[in-house]
Amino acid sequence: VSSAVCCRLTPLQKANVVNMFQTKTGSTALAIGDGANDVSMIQEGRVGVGIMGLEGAQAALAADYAIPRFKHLKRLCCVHGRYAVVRNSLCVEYSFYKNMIIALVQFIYSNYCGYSGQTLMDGWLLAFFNFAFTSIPPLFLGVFDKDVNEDALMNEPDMFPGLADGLYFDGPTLARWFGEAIIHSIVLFYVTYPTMLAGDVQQFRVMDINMFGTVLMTSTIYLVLTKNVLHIRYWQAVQVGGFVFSYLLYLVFVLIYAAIPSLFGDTIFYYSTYTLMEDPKYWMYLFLFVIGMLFPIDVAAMFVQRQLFPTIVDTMQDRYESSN
Amino acid sequence: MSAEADARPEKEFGNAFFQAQMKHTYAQVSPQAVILCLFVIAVVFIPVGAATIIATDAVFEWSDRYDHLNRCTHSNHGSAETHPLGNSTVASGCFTNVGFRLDQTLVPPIYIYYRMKGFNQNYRLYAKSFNEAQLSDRDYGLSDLDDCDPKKTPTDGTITIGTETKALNTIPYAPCGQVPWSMFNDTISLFRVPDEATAAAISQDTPVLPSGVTPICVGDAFSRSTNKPTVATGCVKEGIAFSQDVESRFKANPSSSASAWTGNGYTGVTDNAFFNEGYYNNEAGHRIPLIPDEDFMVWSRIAPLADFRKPYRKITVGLQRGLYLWRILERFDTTSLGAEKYAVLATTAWIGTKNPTLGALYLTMGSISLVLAFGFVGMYIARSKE
Repeated sequence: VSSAVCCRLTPLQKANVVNMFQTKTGSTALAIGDGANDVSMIQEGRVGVGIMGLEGAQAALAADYAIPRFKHLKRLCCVHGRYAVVRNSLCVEYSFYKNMIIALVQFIYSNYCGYSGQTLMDGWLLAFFNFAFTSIPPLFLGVFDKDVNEDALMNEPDMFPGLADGLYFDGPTLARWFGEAIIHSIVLFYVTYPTMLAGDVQQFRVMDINMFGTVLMTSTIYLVLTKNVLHIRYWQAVQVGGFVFSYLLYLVFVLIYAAIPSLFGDTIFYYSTYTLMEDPKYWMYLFLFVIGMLFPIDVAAMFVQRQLFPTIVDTMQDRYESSN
Repeated sequence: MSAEADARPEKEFGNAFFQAQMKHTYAQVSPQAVILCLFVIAVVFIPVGAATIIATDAVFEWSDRYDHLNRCTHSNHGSAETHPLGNSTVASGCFTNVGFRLDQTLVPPIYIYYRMKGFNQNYRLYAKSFNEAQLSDRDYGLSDLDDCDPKKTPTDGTITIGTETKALNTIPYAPCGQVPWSMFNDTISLFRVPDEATAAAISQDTPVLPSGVTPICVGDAFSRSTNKPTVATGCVKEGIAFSQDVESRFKANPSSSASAWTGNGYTGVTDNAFFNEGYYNNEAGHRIPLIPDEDFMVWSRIAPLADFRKPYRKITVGLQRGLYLWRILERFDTTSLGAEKYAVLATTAWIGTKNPTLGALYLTMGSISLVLAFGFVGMYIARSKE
């Protein structure tokens, strides 16, 4: 049975039908109605849509979403609903990714410091990592991004079924993000490991754990920010501003922090950014991670997937956006 | 189905922003852009990688392990030096000699490092066992030094300084903590050996070197507080620590008093010879580090791994090909820790000390980019023929 028609139902019976559907199949029901007798059904469904108008505003007042005409349901689901899925998924996946990287790098290091809880990076940099340095990317992804043009979504019925199948948030996609976090953290740690051993800076001096942590933190932050840039599909002025601001914020922060001789009695970070910036090696590591690793691997993989194994999203993107 | 043309509001910024209808562009992953980027990466990374590898190949590095020869421990040691203690003396320390041959001429500056393997400066309780306010000459109270435990103050007993008697556990060590207490204090010197016969006459613990052996760098010919040489020698100590350490972070140089037990010793009358000499309490010969000592600054920079090296001296004379000798006065016991000590001789290039990994990685990623770029060109041509 793929559809059923019920008629002459009381409000309670309508609610029971929706409830039965949701509990028996486990799926999410969207209940839509325009009158006071639809209110209990709208509230029972996980998504309730009320239509304003002919029979008054009760249905609209009780609903999660209110639309003026029934025909607008198409736009609500195909465009706004889809964008909500895209944005939520990307925001959540990206947040997991960046947090996993910073935690895993420290976890790998714990094997080398006897599990004593010594952090590799400076405490203030860690404290601001989520709060300031990498807070804008997931926020702006979650607010502004669109994966396909609205016209494509309204005109191509093939775009819709994917929403019901766990679009952008299914098992394989999550596994890919988590796998990338694990691989990137292993690469970040072990590629800089020889420098951790030798520790040379300013030609012959040897840096300490705090300075090395700053090298690793800088590489991590710019790697994570650039990975976000690769996932942004819809570029507009605010999005550009957001990513430029994030790139600059960390730079300005470490420059200012290193100019403070004593912060609540701690002197360890004083001048360390300037010391590191003088040494060409640290710029080389930064470019290696941000450009040398992301382009040949991530961008190339993305390109191969689009050319050789395009999904319906890729096809529609090409068809509708090349004329933009 | 025709596109639903709902009346769109005018595109003022505020309205366009809230309606998500701003001027925009969708990211295009076009073949031209990707191939161009990959070519640019290859063209930049491959030469840089090659230059880095060439530079690092020209760098000289030589290290000798020396702790396993005499296994100088706290309880089993020689009498390399005698320490005055009140009216008597205490002898400790071992002489260790390690010969090596230099096959190339080295141009100054040449650096001496000491390297330790198996010593974990990176344990959390150790890494915070010192007090930065005390080191940088800022105000602090006795309770601020709690991170330094158990090396915050001497433990039990009292001391009479002049006419005043104080409990020992109210006088903090300056600098306090396990980091200063465990400071590396071997003295490493470099000598030139004229010929094989003289080299053969020197064994691993010969206390007096035969004549003919000339000193190049005498490790302890330097003042602990000014870091300047006390005797003319072919190396310098100033400059091994970071300039921010010398100028700002390690500015203090306290004198011993009723409120600080320092390595400067005390010239007045007390009942504790260790305090007068500037040793740790009940540890004859174990001198408390002086804060302005650049060796101490270098040691205080906590190393991230259990295998680390730290700069020791900078040799300012050239080294010819030939036979050389490390002569080390061992005071630091690593045998009971299971750790190892090495003396390292190294030169540097613009890339720093010997580190081939970065160059290799640049070459690898550049080559991968090049291969991918050609691959994508081929794929593009093949597909546009379809």
